[in-house]
Amino acid sequence: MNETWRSWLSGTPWLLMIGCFFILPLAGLLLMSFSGEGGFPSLDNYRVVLGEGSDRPAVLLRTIGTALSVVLLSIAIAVPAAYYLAKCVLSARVQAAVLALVAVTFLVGPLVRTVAWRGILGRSGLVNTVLQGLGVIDEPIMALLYGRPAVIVAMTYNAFPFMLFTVFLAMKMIDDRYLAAGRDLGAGPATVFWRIVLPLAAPGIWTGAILVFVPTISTVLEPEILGGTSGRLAATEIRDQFFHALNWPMGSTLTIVLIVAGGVAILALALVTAALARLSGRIGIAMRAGSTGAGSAR
Amino acid sequence: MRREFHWFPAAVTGAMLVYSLLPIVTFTLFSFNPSPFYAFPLTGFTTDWYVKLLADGRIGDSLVASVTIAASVMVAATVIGTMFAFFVVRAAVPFKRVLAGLGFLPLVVPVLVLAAGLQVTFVEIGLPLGFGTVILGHVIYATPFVTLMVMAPLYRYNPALDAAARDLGAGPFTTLRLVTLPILWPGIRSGALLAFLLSFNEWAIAFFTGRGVNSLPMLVYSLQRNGLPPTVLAYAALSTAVVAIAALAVLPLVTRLLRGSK
Repeated sequence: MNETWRSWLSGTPWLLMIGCFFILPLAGLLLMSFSGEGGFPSLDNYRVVLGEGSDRPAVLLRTIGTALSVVLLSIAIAVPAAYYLAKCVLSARVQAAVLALVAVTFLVGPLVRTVAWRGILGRSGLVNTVLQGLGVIDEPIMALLYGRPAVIVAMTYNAFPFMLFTVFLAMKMIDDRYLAAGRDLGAGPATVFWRIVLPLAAPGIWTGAILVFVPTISTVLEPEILGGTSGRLAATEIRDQFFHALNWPMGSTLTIVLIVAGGVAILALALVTAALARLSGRIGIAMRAGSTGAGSAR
Repeated sequence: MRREFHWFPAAVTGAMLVYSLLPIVTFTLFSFNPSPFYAFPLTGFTTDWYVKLLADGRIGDSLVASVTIAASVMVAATVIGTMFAFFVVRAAVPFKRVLAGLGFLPLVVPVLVLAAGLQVTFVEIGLPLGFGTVILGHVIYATPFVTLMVMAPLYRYNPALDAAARDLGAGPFTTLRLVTLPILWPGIRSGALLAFLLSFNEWAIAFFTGRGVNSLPMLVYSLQRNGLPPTVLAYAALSTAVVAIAALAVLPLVTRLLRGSK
């Protein structure tokens, strides 16, 4: 059997499926977004969405802002934890057990994971009951549930494992000898972390950020189950256009706008990070040192 | 290298475990509480909700629907995803990087977008929305994850093993069946498990493309809208137990992989 033939055989089924049931649907959405009241093609829907007096840009900004805060929270949780597991814990069994525990809770599914927060943040939920029991508060805090904080807590809960797993793998692949060399040359633990581990793990953090950001901008469940009357998010509007207003072209337009806005947000984040890294000489030096180090090890 | 205790990352790791487990522990606790509300106080111990859950006909129907979908998705995604892993790692064809990248696109496009696009497409081409369309949608969603799981052991795979098998007289298919696939099997198995669980829990694609399909997430979604009966908590606790047992099955493998990559 010929090698080229075998190569194509292994790739064709999935590439065909991607073409028919992924590229084609996205193209379909794009086409449909241009069919307005004035026939096809028209920019009517986009005018309605982005035109004057529309609250959609505000909804979009709110969605992106929420998703970015979820990404930052995920980094705050996952980077120290991944560092601890990958570089401070010796036992592979402990590492596997902690990751498996997070994976189990993750695979229980977003719906159940989201609903669960009602019993923790509710009026007579875990947090209020404990705080009242300790005498910290007299009246239950009502603002915990049904608002932006609850939505962000649950969104982070549902997405941060992506960050944990990718950053853990990235840090696991860093050669321990780089850290040892840093220590031998007189760097303290904090310097080793900021100037060796973090720059080398940066690609993993980026992958994690995208894997967290993407599902978060499109989720319907958290705002619906925990959001109460806090501002609407883009995904809910899309769902409503498809299922309640039955205005598919408008739904398609909102979808396309959300993808574009998400892409722009990620691009902007990349540019800001790169600019910060260049501005701060320290990080710049650390990144260059890191990349040459990784190159010579290969 | 000498390792030392760092209190800050250790504290964050501990907090992360509490954060991960708190909701799971809470709903499991309340699934045994006699009160019909998901709120304190705990007033006793009962298994009534589990009895009610198992007696509820809708749950049984939904379970059958969900398992049917997830099992079909698992088989299709595992086969197609494993093949694609071979393409990504081994193929030598023009534009391979572009084509391989194309295959991972579903990872970076929101599920809701995929769901809406599929609904529009299925309706346009006249495919009736139902089990078939949900399975198709879930395969698109789950396959890249399978490919990722199989790619890791495939990159580590020593091609000399294939050459040895060939020298000993095995044809390409015999080599694949008796040498390559058994070595990759742990990765394939984890990928299959992941595909099953992803499909089993997926809500958005089922909601958009499955008219009349009442999978478990869709049932839970409609139940929680009407006040969240504790049977849902019992379901959540039971499904957690199932996932935990499945995870125990792959834990030794994860440990071995982590040791190997040290």
